[in-house]
Amino acid sequence: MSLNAQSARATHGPAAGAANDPAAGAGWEPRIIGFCCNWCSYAGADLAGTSRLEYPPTIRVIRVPCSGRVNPQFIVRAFQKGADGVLVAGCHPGDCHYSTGNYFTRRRLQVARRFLEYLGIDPRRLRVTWVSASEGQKFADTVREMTEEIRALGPNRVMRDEP
Amino acid sequence: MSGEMRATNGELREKVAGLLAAGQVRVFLGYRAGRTPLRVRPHHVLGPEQADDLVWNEFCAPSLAKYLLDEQEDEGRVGVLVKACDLRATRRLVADRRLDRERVLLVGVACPGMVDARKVESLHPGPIVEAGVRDGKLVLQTSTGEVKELPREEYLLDRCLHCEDPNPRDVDLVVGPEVAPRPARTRDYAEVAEILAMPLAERAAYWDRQFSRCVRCFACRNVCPACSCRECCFDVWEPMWLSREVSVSEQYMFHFTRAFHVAGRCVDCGECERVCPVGIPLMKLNRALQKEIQELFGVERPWDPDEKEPLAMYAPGDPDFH
Repeated sequence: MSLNAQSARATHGPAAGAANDPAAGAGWEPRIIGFCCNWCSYAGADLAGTSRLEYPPTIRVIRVPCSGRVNPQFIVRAFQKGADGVLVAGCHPGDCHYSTGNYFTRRRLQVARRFLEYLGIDPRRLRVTWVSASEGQKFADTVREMTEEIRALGPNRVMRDEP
Repeated sequence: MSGEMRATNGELREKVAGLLAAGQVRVFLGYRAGRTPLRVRPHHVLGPEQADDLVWNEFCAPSLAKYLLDEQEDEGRVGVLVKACDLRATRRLVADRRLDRERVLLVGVACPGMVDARKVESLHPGPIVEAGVRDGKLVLQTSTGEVKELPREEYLLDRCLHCEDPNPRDVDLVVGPEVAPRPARTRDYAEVAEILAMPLAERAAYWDRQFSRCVRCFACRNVCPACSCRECCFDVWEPMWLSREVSVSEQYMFHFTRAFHVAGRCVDCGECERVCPVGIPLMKLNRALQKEIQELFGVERPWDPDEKEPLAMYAPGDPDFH
């Protein structure tokens, strides 16, 4: 790796780079990819921030137009690229901005979660939850809970690209 | 082959020659002799004189359904020989609006159960010069002249043991007599339960072992009647879902996606597993998804194309997370 790339990696926050290498042990922090729906959960995450609620910096949020946009391949790709957990957050059933998007999500991801478990991935590593735009506290609590759970599980190795 | 099948074969040749002579079909898809007595090849019959090469025997396991997609690109009607399991495949293609039922002439044939060539080859290595079924026994003759008589039931394809009805229904034409159904095994998903009994780490190790053999030849995708997208996500460069890298991680992406894309749509024909050159137990993935869909959404027969696609619908009362 070039020096440039190394210094670039070092600026990627506390959970990146050598300190996060599972082999390093002690410094390891869970890495969570969060897919948040634009209409509810992303606003909920935003509210958590503007309300100055504390939650661990373990999550990287990716905004999606609807939780129904989350192709299960996104989840596999996240695990491939080194995520230890994936959070999918959408509007509460019945509140979908697109009326029914999250109903499809619910079916699809129920099956995906069980299927990943069948392949050897702990189901606690994929969390699907409903966070409305006014539930900043719920978002913060979810991230905290999930971080604790995954910290106990340790780094994910299944499906992961060789580091 | 048994006398009954020989008679059916004669009837098939005659009827197909007639269909082509009368111009009722442009081409007929059937089977012809393969490279070994245990194998057959697809036969595209284009004229009445080629119908003489048609074969119908206990080794006609391949499904011809997927060839229909290529053949319907040209004008005219396409005839095809279908067993009851192949019919589920054609119904799947019609349900997916990939196949125009009006442009296909289905010639149904009752099936006594097909022999699993790979099972025979693995248990009886060495050249086999003749193979057939006589009085319910699978009879093999080796190059040294030795004759082996084996219990046919033990050498059937797995899908034949689960067969609910070996007689074709709703076809345009039938050749041969009906066959008495054998008592079908119930779907107990034992092979799925076996994996679910393993701890998570052991499951991952098991799939690592299976997937790492994959050579990504895409045979499982190409043969699958539920896998018929005009543009497959693995054939596009943008986004590149599958890199050209050889790694177990990439194999997970491929096999997870292949299975998930046919979740609730797999017709349980087992062709993917039959054609896999490295023997990956692909049906264990498909069946796991069937079982999940049955349990989660109460879909009774997820392998039946007449069922509404469970992942393309929802109910407000579906099971929720936590």
